[in-house]
Amino acid sequence: MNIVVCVKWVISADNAIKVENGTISDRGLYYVVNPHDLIAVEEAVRLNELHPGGEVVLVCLGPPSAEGGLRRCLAMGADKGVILWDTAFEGSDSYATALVLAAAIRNLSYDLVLCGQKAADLESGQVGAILAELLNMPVVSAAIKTDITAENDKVIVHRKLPRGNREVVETSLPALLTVETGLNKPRYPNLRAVFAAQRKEITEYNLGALDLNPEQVGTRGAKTRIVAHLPPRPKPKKLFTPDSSLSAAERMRLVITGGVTQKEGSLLEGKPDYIASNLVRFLSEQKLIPDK
Amino acid sequence: MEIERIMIPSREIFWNVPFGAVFLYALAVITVGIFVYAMYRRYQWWRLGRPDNRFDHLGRRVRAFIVTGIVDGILHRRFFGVVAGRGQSNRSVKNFLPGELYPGVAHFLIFSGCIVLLLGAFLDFISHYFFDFMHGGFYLGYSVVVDAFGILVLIGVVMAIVRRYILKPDRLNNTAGDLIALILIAVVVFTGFLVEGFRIAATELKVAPDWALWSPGGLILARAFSGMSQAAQLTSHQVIWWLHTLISLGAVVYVALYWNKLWHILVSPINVFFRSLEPKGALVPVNLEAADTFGVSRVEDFSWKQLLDLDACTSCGRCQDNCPAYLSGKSLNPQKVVQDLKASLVERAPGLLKSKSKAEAAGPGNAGRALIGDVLLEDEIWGCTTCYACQEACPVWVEHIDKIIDMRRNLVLERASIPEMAERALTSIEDLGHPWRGTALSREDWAEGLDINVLADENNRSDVDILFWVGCTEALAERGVRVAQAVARLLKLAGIRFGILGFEESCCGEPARRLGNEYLFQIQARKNIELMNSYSIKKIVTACPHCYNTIKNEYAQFGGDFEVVHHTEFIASLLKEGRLSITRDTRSVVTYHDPCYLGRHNDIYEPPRQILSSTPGVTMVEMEKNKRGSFCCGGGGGHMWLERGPGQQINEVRLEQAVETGADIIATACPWCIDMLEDGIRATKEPLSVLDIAELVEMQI
Repeated sequence: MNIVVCVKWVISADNAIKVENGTISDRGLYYVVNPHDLIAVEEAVRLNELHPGGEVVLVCLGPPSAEGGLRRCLAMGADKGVILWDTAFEGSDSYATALVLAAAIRNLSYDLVLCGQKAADLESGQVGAILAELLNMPVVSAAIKTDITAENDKVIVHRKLPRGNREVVETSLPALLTVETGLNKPRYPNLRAVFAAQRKEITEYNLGALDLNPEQVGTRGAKTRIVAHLPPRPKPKKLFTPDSSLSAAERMRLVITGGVTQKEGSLLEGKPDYIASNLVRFLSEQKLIPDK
Repeated sequence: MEIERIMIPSREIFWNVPFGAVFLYALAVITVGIFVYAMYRRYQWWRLGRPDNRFDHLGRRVRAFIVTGIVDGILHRRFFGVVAGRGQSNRSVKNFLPGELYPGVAHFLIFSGCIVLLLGAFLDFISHYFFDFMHGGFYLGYSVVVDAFGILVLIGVVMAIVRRYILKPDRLNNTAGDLIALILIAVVVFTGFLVEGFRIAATELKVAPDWALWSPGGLILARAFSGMSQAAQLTSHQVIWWLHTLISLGAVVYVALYWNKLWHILVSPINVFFRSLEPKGALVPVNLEAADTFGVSRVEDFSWKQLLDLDACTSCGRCQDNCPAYLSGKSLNPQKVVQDLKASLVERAPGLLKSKSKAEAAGPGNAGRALIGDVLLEDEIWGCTTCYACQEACPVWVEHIDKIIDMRRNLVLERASIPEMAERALTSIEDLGHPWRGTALSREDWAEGLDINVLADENNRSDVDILFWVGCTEALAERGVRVAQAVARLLKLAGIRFGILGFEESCCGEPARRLGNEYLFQIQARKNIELMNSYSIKKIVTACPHCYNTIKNEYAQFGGDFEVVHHTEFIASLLKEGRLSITRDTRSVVTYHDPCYLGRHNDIYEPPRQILSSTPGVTMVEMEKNKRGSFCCGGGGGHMWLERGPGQQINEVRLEQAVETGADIIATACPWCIDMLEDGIRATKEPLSVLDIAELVEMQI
């Protein structure tokens, strides 16, 4: 089977990430292959081993430094890699990214395209679906089990739904699947595979090679825009042991929220009219209802 | 005129044995021939291994061999339980282990006795064939010495038999070969005494009984035979002489053909000569790009020296007696590892020698038992903490650790088979440059507010004389961070102009190498060396013994040339120079736990103790297992990331030893030791605390 896997080079979520002045401070940050994409690569290699006679091709929209990540995926068993990079691509959102990927993938032959369900940095979870639409393929998301039918013309996918539910979907090939954690455990390549990967082919394409225009990609082609980065609330702190004189429920709440955030305001008690008018005043002060 | 006949004491060689000389020399030639042939065959077995240049530094090797020969061979120092070596500033560091005295004495009696007996026969030979000195007072003196040592051999053999078969210590596994060896020695020596007894009974006892007093052993037997007729004595003497000769030569033939452990007489000294001259803590690098296989998966993949090790081992079991994994109930047993590897060699060598090439031998026809899986379990291979206690205890310099690491290299690099948590540590180093995935800290968080120069900032570089290499654990683990901060504050107090690499620091690679991923280690090493060279760094101080060992002893393998000091050495010298002074007097009882990578691997025992003894309030108590005999905390060899095994945990065993001293505080100098011991305290709720030397010193300033 010929399988294309989309791979993203992201800031590892295991970095201690600090937000300063609305942007992510980039000192000492390490980049990795998006963990969901490693799962996609593993699945592609696994399927290719079960149904030999094709290639696993990696497609990555990222800077040349992403080569390290691609080599890792090649060591897992992928055959070739493609890096799509141009300064014009900077600032691409999910739509623009999918557009660029589609431009590259269109030129490849594939029975299956695999993407991670979401990326560890932006977690929009949209690229896969948009890409499928652009390539005019069915998309099945949140795959945690895949089986190709004997005739090699359909794929049966188990989807991970909330609260432990599962859905089984069958679709014809070619199709695009986005994969979820739990599908497999990405293999740890042995050194032989690592050395072999260093000799595998990685090609770079820029804007011109993909036959795209600058207005279609980057900040100009994006349909969404990141306005700001805010530090997560509550601020990352080490876990503290809550006061043992509090009730169990209270202590659990403190542990889960990571600390006490005292809400401002008071508890209103008294007659219904009194409560109601103060409530309205509070809501309009917080701009949650229009001013009267 | 009367002519007085003066009788001069002497002994006629081959007396009463017609054709004795002819037959003895003929048989001796045959025996030596068989012996040499057997030796050659065994040598061919060793040659099955990979090449290894152990003929370098011949001058140093010869000198080391002579010194070891005198100190351990003649004086039997280590055998008597005096474990010693070079410590800080080359001062001698000694421990005495009373439990080793009994086997040491037994071996010394047998060893020295046999040497004296052989020397005696040799002197006889020289005296008879070259120039005659074996007469008169000299002869009498010689007789008593040789007789006495002959009796000592028998006493030694009895002591050994009692130890093996009555006392039955744990570390000895008695095989038929052990008993045969002891019995052969006893029979050879005893028949020798019988020969002497019959000779004295037939000659001296009658003619010059005073001389017989100089052969006490022979005399006792002669008195027992004195009732026999002269003819009977002479016949018996002849018969026993032939018996003694045939048994002696036969013993040599037996040992040669069956590779009895008495071979150690020859092989062990050879092994000592070829021992590693590299720093103790340095593992052997591999040129991975040029290697055809990674690590060792068959016994013939070892180097010839490693195979020689297997034959030099005499199953004394001292390694087993000191291994923390074995002593805490794990499946790993260093004595068993060496003997099992040897068994694999014995299985495979004949077939390998017959086949034309190794490739043919590796084919399915010559499969036999798989080294990893059948001969040794993966559990045993992962069970080692690389603490070096086995090698420190081994009297013949068998190197256990490199074989285990070689098998780990095969598991990781060839088969990608590694326990899950350890795999996560490795991918963490690959992805994040440190093994502590999940930490909420970044590499410069610990230094916040301490106003420390980071070398990435050009303006700082001229203010830096020495690099403080923090290490991953002290930068990123919550407990370790407190040590880094203490060290930094002390350095500032002493006015030391130091800097850190901060975000640019990357794992030294030690856990990767110990877990068998030599490739990842080399990537990390080269990266760090290039970085430090770009800042022209020459001097480094670090508070982690693992980083210390790797940068100091292993980075040289990749072109790194740095002067590395451990923070305890540094602080000790700061105290001595007066740049730091202890002013407080907080009373506490402290015991010091020697980290394996500071102690045994690098022979640094004194500086932390000097620091503790210069602190007035501190009462220092030593654990029973300390200095070279220190017991591992269980954190090394990648064990910070390996699953807990069966039996008691190594850290809890060590904690028990610390509790026994009655100390309030365990002082140590390694962040992993701190983690492991505190883990043990959390599990057992013992009322002790663990502090790094730097933290202790800071408290006292």
